Amino acid sequence: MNEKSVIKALQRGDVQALEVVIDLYASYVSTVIHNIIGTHMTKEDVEETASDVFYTLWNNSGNLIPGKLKPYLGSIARSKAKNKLRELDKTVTLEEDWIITSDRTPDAIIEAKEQTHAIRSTLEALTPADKEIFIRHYYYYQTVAEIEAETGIKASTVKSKLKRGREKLKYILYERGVFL
Amino acid sequence: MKYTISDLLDLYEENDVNIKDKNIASSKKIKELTMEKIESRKKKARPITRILIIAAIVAAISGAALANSLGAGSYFRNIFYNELTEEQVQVLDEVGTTSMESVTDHGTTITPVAALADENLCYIVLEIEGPEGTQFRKLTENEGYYQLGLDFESLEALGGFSMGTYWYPDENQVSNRITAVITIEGTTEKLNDGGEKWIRFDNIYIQSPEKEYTLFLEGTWAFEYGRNLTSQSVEVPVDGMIVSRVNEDFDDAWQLTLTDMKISSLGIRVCYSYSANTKMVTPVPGPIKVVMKDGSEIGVTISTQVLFEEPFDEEFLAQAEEAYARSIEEQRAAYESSKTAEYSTYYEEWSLYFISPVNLDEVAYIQLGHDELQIPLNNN
Repeated sequence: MNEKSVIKALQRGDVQALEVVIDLYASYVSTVIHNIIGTHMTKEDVEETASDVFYTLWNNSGNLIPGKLKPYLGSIARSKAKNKLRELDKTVTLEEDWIITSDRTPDAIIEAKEQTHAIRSTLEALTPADKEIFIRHYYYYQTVAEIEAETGIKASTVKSKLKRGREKLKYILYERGVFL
Repeated sequence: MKYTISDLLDLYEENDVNIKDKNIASSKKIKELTMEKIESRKKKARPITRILIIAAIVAAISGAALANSLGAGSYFRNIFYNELTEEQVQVLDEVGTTSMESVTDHGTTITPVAALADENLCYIVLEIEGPEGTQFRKLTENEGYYQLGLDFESLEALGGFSMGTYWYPDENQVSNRITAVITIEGTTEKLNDGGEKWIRFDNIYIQSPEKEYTLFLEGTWAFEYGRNLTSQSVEVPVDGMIVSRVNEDFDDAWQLTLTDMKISSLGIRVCYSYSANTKMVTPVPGPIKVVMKDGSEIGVTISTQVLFEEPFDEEFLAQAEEAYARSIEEQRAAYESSKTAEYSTYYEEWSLYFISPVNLDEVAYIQLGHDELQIPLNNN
């Protein structure tokens, strides 16, 4: 059953198709949730949040696009986990995960669009290796030690690649008129 | 508005990196829990629906339906980059709505006084009145800012979405009232299709720069905002039009085939395809601007000259340019090595928003690069 037919089956309300998706992506979704909030939650909490992700998928199957199932699940998993984190009043520390403030730009959506485009431009402008490190840390919340363990790249190199990504992002945001 | 790098990645469609699964949860258990939720839903109305119904009843009992003599445009005078002209306010009066109902919970009333939208973007102005004794004020940088506790499920029907909130406290006094403007960006469902759309907030917090949340006001407020939204929008005939774009950094050029363009009072969306042997750089069909019949121009990006009004940091700029030059050298090599023997066709969508709303009746043409695109008449 390929992704296109799974999505079609989900859209028809086929529960077996959802079970296929859960079998395929339960580990991925749980890992994303655990990376963000694992230290503050039990295994049962992770499972409960993961089931929320798949329940959301089920309720929104009409909007799914073939080829984008994993990004969709990743995005919802991050969103649910960050929401839980907020409910628990906890934070996750990432490498210099600085805050951009630009209260002087009242036209809200231009700012949001610019920053969304900026992050996309940044990732596209990084070398594939630097991009992967950036995504692992800032999207998947992997620690530097975890990245080192999974990729074999030394922690100091991981840090320098993250720094390069941040510099690039800073410059692109600066070019687009967003002050840090 | 404040973001962290990880927040900026919320809308990123990640599909390239394979992370090692930690196997910390049981897929069997996840399946059971998910199926229980689906079964539970079949047996009773969804919890959110019940809450929405309760919210609607509260609004009805309180008799809080908004008697609004002002048009929607009046509420948006100050949120765009430039203060609106009377004509622009009239445009927003026509496309926006003020027919929404307030909701009171735990003594706090939130009134969505005006909303406007095009297909992908919606602005809603909320007037919030806390219980007597509540003190809304302009928070300092170190304190953070007010934050509405968004119920994500209420927006997930939009497919992908993003929401921003902009607070407008009274600069001169502390009071129990504050105005907030929220922006909702949907990616799959048309926001202006006239269908029922809900958004729900649980509590109002103060969010610190360290992302710590302190409960400020307790309550649940849910609003229907979609039924009365319309939009002035026009299809621009571009199907098959080809534009050339060059990227000097990477010494490359593309032929972009435009497949669809739509302009609304708030922005432009362009769909296009192109052939390339690497996806490392995505070309866009811009620059783009709207030229009005009186000769004035409406831009789609923030003007740098306005944003650079603070003392210019020459040292930072020099460092940034140096870093960028170094980075480009490395990226050029990566770009060349990322090219494959085979070309693929890529399909892209590019959405841009105007720095102030546009009366489409007064548009002379759209300037896309060197091309002037005419807007058809009577095609709303």
